[in-house]
Amino acid sequence: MLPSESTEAIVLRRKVVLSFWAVFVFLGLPLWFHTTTIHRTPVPLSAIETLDNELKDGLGLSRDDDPGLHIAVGVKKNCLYGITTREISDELQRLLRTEGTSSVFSLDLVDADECSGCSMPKYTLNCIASDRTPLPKTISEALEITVYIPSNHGSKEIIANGLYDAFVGDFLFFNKHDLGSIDRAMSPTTGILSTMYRGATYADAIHLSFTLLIALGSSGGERAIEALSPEFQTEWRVHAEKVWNTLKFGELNRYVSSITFDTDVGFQYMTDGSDEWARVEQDVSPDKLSSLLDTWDLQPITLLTTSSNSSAVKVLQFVYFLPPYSTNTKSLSFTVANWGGVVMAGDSPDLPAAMRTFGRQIDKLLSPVSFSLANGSKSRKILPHRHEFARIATIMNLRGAIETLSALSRLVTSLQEMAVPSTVRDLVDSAIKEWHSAVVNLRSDFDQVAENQGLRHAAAAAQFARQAVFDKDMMLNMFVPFEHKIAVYLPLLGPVIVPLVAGLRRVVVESRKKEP
Amino acid sequence: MDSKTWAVFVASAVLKLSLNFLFPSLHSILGQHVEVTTSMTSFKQLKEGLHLYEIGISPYDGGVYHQAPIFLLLFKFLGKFGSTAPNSPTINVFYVFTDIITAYFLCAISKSQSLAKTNQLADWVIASIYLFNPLVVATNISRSTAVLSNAAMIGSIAYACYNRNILSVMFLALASHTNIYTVYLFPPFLLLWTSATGATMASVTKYLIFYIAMSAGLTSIGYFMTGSLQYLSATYGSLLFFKDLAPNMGLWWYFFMEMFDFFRPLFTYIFQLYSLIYVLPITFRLHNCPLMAITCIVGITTISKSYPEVGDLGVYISLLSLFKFIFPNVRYALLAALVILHSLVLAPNFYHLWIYLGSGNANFFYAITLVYTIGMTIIITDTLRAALLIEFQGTENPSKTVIQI
Repeated sequence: MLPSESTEAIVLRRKVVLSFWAVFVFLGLPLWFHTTTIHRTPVPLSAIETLDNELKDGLGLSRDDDPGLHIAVGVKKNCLYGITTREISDELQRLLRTEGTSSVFSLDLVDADECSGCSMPKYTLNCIASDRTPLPKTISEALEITVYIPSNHGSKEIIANGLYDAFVGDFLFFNKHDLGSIDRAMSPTTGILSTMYRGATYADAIHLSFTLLIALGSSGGERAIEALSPEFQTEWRVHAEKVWNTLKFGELNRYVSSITFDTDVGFQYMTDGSDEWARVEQDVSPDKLSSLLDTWDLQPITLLTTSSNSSAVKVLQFVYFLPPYSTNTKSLSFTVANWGGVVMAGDSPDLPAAMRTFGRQIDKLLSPVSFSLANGSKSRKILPHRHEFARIATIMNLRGAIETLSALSRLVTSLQEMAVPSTVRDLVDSAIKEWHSAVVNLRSDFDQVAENQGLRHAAAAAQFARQAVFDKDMMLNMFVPFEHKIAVYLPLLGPVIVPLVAGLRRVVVESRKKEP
Repeated sequence: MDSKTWAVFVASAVLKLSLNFLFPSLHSILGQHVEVTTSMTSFKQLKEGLHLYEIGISPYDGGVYHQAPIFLLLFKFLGKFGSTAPNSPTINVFYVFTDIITAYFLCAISKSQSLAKTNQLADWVIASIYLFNPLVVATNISRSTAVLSNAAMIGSIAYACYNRNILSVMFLALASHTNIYTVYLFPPFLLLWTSATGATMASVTKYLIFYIAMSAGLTSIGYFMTGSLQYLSATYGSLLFFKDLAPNMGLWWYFFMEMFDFFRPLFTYIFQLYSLIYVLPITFRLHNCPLMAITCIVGITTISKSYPEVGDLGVYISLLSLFKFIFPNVRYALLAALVILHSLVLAPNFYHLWIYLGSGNANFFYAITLVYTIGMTIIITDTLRAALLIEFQGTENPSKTVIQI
């Protein structure tokens, strides 16, 4: 039998146990409660819903009165392939409805050949069932929407998709004129390439960044090394400056806020059957490049496209293609830039010639510095149609912004345990503020839109919305369920709580024994 | 103080001065070891802070300097007598002198009334345990400012043991100002201060007010030196909230390396609470021997603080040497000694493997810190058990025995 404890010892033990509990209860529990509370800043969900409804109702913009929102396209007979204009128009409207854009602008097709007495639409749909297309020589040619349709592939879907891509979606700019020895075989799933010269549509609101990509076929290592040599880079810079000077002389300042030359030199390649891009950076050493080339599987190499980042900077990608030695190599190299792309191909080492071509392409895209009028004299004109596209781009950005904000509101609503930091609220408020500025601009005088202020506000709204959704602090704490909290806290508390509870129990038992 | 003790003092001074003279770069080598110094006690950072202070820039801008502003005043004063380079004669003599003073205080404590009724080791042995302890020597040569904090703490104990309570409060406030964890010693110190007069409300309040006033005075020195109270965030804030994530001999850094930001505040508070929660219970339980309570709390903070060093273990062992009477009841001395020895030998190796050779990883070093903590825990629990056993058995009635059943 254990000897009995003195009263003093029992009192002492009580003090010890209770002092442990005092710290635990008065310090530990409040700290635990405070540090594990999820802070959710209220997101203006009703405001986001209001904006969504506003967009669906057309933003208060009148389609009939606003020429920028109602676009007529003339279709020539050679594009129809026996399909009626009505069928193409219906298909186009279906696409617009699917994307939700029909509420803000419309595309109508007009039979260009049978339009007697009517005013010709600004845009003409021109179909060319040929793989070789000359460069446009006139403004009117530059304004044409040219759809490339391979032989026997004409259909209402293809034509409607071409039109849709031309005005709404991303587009490809593919100039086959200087392809040289590139194999013209295309992936059969790519049924159409549509080209549209948007001219200076976005020019006021964008930077142009030229990225030199060297698309590398399975060519010899010497050439690749040469392509990456410092001399090559220097030459590139020299000619890029010349292009810039040419363009400046062509009054590009009226369209382009700035042009930056991104002298990153890199190349992308993808071995056949692989979905992974590999990118070799600028400072790759010749030895490393050689070993890379040596490890390549010399299967047919297919170069696929990659979209450039659809954020503020529009990237014009100049691809200098080094074709493989093997003639059996199926290679396809082109870029899908948000704004436009130029492909240079050929194994000619004459870079100045390539840059001249590049410069011509830039000219065509940005400003028709020289063109032939009917009387043969040269003149300069501003491409007049950027307003429409600026408005469309504004609306597209607003749509993107509201879709992103709606996604955020759904996320916040569905995940009640997700923390929402105050930065997210600030970003949402900024996005809404920019939204309103963009809408005011859209509703205002046409000329103000021409300044692309609306486009800037809409782009900012979309950007803020994206930042709000992908806020780092919110993403990191996206899912902190109650079970995880228990899993974290129990290992901390378990070893401590057992002796505390045992000690407290003993104190309580001793107190009860004394009571009778 | 007998001649043997003075001989020990002289020998330790000769040893440290010789080491500094024969191996001039030894301070730099040891100063880079995370086991010996941390960012909170590093002399190198002190020098940077001193330089910034001398050219008129706040040393607390930039997150380099985390130590108390009073160190800047002290070393600026020392600079008048010579260079403040780590191996300069001024600094050499200063640090040697500080260690000797600390050993002197330890000897004084052993002869005080608080330990009068117990068997004590000879003064020269107690002094040797401190002065020739490799951990203390390494800390001294690395010029860690923990040497000064420890000296203030032990000085405070010494003055309290001789009822020089005002001086004791001052030294404790100074030690707390330089090392925030010394605040935990306030409850057992209250017992020491009121041991002669009894722990009345008036006396407790008096010492509390005086301690707070002293601490406020030291804090205001920092305010006038830097022009704001921003330094509190850089000094105490860094210690308490573990702002400088760097490997050390503690348990904190590994957790915080991988932790989600959401849980960081919780873990910080829990870890700090873990060292705080033992203060009152130990004080209550060992109210008859406040010195033992102080020693236990020093040991617990050694393993649970955010930036521990091996010098803290040296101080703890030196304090333990004052309690010779518990040694016969200590059961796991060999085990603890071997565990500590192994961890101290392997720690620098594993750190070197991880950081410099790249053939190890953080797990190597953290495993050794866990082993080190286990060794410390064995020592603390074993000595505490021995002390409680002595208390239970009592000296008046040795017929009480504890039987293992």
